[in-house]
Amino acid sequence: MRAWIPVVVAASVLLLPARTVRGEESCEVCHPDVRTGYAESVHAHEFACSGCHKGNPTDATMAAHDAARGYVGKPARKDIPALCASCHADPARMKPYGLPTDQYAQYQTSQHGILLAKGDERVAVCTDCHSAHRVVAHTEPTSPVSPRNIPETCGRCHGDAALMAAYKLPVDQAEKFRASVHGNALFVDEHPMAPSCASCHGEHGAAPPEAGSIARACGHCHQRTREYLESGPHLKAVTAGAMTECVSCHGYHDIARPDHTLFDRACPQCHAADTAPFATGQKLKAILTQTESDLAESSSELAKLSELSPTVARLRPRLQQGWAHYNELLPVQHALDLQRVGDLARSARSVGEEVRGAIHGAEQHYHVRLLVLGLVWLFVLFAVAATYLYRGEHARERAERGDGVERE
Amino acid sequence: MSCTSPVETIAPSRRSLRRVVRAELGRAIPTSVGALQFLGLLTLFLFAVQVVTGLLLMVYYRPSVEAAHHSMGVIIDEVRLGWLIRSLHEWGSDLLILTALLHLIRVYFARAYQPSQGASWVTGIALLLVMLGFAFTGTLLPWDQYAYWATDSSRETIARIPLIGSALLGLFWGGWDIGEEVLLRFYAFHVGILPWVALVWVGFHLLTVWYVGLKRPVLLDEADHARGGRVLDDLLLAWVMVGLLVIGVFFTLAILVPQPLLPQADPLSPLLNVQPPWYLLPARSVLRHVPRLAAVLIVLAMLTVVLSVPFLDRRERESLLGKGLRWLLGVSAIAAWIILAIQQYRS
Repeated sequence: MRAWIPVVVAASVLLLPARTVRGEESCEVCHPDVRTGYAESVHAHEFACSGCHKGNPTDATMAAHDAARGYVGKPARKDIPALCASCHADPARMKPYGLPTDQYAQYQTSQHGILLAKGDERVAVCTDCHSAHRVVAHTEPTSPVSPRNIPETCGRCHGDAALMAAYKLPVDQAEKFRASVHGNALFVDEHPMAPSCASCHGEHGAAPPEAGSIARACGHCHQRTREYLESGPHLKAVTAGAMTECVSCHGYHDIARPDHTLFDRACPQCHAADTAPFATGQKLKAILTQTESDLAESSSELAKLSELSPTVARLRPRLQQGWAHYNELLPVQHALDLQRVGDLARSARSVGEEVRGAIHGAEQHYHVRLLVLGLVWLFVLFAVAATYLYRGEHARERAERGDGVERE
Repeated sequence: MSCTSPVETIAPSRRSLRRVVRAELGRAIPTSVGALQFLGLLTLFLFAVQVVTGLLLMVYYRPSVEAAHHSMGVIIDEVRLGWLIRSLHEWGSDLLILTALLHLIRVYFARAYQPSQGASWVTGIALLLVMLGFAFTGTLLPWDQYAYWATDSSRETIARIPLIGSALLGLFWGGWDIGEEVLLRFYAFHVGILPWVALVWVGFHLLTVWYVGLKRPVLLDEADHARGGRVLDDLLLAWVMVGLLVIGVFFTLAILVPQPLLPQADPLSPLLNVQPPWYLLPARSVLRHVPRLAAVLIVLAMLTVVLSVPFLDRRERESLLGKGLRWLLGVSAIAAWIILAIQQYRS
C-alpha cells in the first residue's frame, strides 16, 4: 500500500505549475464580465490578463495590483499602440501566427498615429477598432474589423459630430458609403471582394487619398479603368490640377452605380453644352445606351422563349459574349476614344442582333412545331376512327357469315 | 418432265403465302392474349423508329469534337424537320427502354417465359442490355455539357469496377480523357456495331416468340382457344388503334418537350449534380452507397437471378406457393428499383 505514496507525492509536485497558471484567473474574482469577453479572444489561448496588465495574478486580493511587479492597470491611450506593438512588432513572436509586424510602423504614419504622437488622445488607437479584451480575428463575422463591420467601426468616431467638429471632418461618410454601389456590394450582394473603408484609406496607415493618388486608390480594383483614364485626354486635366481624377465625375463615399445619365450630370461641370468635349460625352452616352438596350432586349427575349423552347438555351453563351464586349466598353470609355468604343459597341450589338435573329427563328419554329403536332393528331385520330369503323364492319360481315366465335 | 416458267413457279408461292396470311389473321386467339401483349410489338416499333431517325440523323451528324455540337445545331435549326427527327430519336430512346422494361415485367408476371423454356426470355434480356448500350453510347454524341459530364460521371463509375475497370476504360474510352477518341468509339458502337448486334438478337427473339411462344401456347386448351377472338379483329386492329394513340403521345412529347441542346462541352466548366438517365438511377445509387466490389457483385447477382428465372421455374403447372413467391420477388424488385431511383434523384 505504501508503495504508491511516492507516486502521489511526485504527481502533486508535477501539478504545482498547473495550479500557478490557474491562479492567474484570480482576476475574474473581481472582473467576471471582463473574463467572459476575454475568453473569446485570440489572446486567451496564449496569455492571460497579466500579459498586458502585469501585476501578481496569483493573488486573489487587491494585492494582485502589485506595482512592484509592473502592474499597469488600465493602460493610458497614448501607450496602447506601443503596448500592442511589444508583441505585434516582434517578428519572432508573430511568425508562428503568420501575422505581419508592420502595423505599428504603419499606424505611426497614419493621421491617427501622427495626432497621437502630438498628444491628441481622442484619435483612434488599437483598442478602438479591435476592442480591448474580446480581440477576435478579422475573419470572424462578429469582429469589429471584419469587412462588413468596418464601416460601423469607423463610423463610431467618424459619425460623432462633436468629435469630428474639432477636426472639421464631415460625419456622414458611413451613411453615404452604406447607400453607395460599394455599400450595396458589401451589405446586399455580400460580394467577397467588395470594398470597405480600409480598402481605400488603408488599415493601420489610415489616411485620406489625396489628389494625385485617388486613381491609384480606385485603381486597386478598377485597374483597367485607371489605365484607360490615364491614356485619355483627362490625364492632362488631372496633371494640371483641373480635375480630381475619378472623384470629379463619380464622387466619393456615396458613389452611385454609374448609369448613362452620368454624362448629363458630370460633363457640364467642366464642359459647356456647345463644346466638342461635351458632344463627345453625348456620343459615348448614345453608343452605350443603345448597346445596353439592344443586349437587354435580347436577354429578355431569350428568357421569355426559354420557357417554351429549351433548345434556345444554347444561345446564352453567345449572348454572354455580347455582354462581355459591353463590359469591355465600360473601362474603355474612360479613354474617350470614340473609334475604339464604336468598334466594341458594334461587336456587342452584332451579337445581340444575331441572337435576336435566332430567337425570332425559334419563335417561328415553335409555331411550326404546334402546326406539325396538330397535323399528327389529325392523322392519328382519323386513322383510329377509320380502323374502328373497319373493325366494326368486318365484325358485322363475319357475324353475317356465321363465322363468329363464342365470347365470355 | 414438265417445264415451268419462273412466273409459274412463283405464282403458287404467292397464293400459298396469301393463304398463310389469311389463315393466320383468322386464327383464333386465346383469351389470355390481351392488350399488354402489345408492349413487345410497341418496343419493336420504337426500335424501328430509332433505326429510321438514327439513319436520318447520320446524314448531318459529324462525329468530331470540333463539329459534333455544331452539326447538332444545324440539325435542329437548319435541316427541315431536323428538330423533329432529333427529338423523336431522343424521346424514342427513353420510351424504347420504358416499353422494353414494361414488356419484361409483363412477361414475368404473366409467366410468359415458360412456354419457350427460357429462349425468348434470355434473348429479350440480351436485347434490353443492347438497348441500354445504345442509350449509353448515344448520350455523348450531341457533345454538349450534359453529354460530356454525364459520360464523365459514367467514366468514374466504370473506373471503380474492380479488376476489369481499367480494361473496360481502355476498350470504350481509349484512355482516361473524354475527347476525339471516345466520341469516335461511341459513335462506332452506336451506329456500326450495336445495330447489327440488335438486329441479330431481334431476329432470334422474334423467332423464339413466334415459333415457341405464341404459335404453340402450351398452357392453352381447346376450350380456351374457342372462347378467344380472331387475330385480325380482336388483336391486330385493336393494337393498331392503341399504337396510333401511342404515336400521338410520342409525337406530342417530342414536339412540346424537346430535349435541350446545352452549350458545347467544356471540360473546364463542370456541370454540377449530373444525374444519369432515369433507368440508371438505381444502379448509380447502389454504386454510391455500397463498396465497389460488393456493388459489382450485387449487379452481377441480380443479372444472374433475372436470367435464370425461366430455368428455376420449369414446371408446367405452377403451385400456389410458387406463384406467391414469384409475385413477392417481382413486386419487391420493382419497389426496390423505384425507391433507389427516387433516392438517387433527390440526392
